[in-house]
Amino acid sequence: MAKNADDESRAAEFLEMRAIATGDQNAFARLIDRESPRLLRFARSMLGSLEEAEDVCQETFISLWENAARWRPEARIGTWLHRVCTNRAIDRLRRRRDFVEADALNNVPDAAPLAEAGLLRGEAIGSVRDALERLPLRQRLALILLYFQELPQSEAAAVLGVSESGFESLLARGRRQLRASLTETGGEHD
Amino acid sequence: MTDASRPKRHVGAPHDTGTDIDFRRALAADREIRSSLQALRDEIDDEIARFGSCARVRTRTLARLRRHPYAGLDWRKIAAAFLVAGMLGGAIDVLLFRPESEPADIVMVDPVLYGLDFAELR
Repeated sequence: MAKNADDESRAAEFLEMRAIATGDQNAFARLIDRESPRLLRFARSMLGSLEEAEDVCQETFISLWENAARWRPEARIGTWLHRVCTNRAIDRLRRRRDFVEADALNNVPDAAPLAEAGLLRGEAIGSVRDALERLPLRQRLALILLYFQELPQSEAAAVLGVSESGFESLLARGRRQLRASLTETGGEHD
Repeated sequence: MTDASRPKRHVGAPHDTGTDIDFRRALAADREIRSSLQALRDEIDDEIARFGSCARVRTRTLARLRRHPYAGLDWRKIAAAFLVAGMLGGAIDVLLFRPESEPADIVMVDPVLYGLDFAELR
């Protein structure tokens, strides 16, 4: 049943891409309307700037338009968009002078138990954002793809170009470090 | 959505369930992370909606599109245009530039049909 639904969804996406490949701008506009909210969220959470996120999303959509004629039936539009968007966002991050890959956090030991209450409330969203931005890039991406984008694990793994077990590992480390980071922040605030 | 990396209960160890402090703690931590990330996600969505980013991306993207080279071409019209041009060219050639009758100085004779000797006759 789910397999059939998946096949139908792929077939519909293939037809949509075929229309776009023939220059159907209305079909393309519909695709942008459908995909841009979550793609913008993804780019914004990676880059920390809405303006840059908009630029990256535009470039990603233009790239889809230009590659529509080479679309393969087995490809998924969401996965493709996330992958291209990831690469373009990483390029931008690399170009930033102040971008620091937080490698130092790679070997943080397992978190101490979370403070029982009130650690992440209200104004603490800022500290979540900071903690997320301090994570190594691939761990951050794994968390964003799962929690923000709600991509199925197989698609999220495909976006990062890793196996599903590799993705789980990234996710586990990301969670652990995020917890550790938040606990430290929580301690500082206390 | 399944999330295989979430803390797993030890199936087959009923004495542990509900009393496993580490498990409960990990589960609580996972819930905490999930809810805090959800809050952050909602905030980003609000920001995107507040600044009208989706509409801007749509407008700018569509404005930057290069049309596909053959998009919108009607091949029947192109074929008809070629046909008409050919006919017109032929008509002009016949009506306006009709060649005056010229003496046939050279006659080409197919040597396959008439033989080399005949073909070399002048």
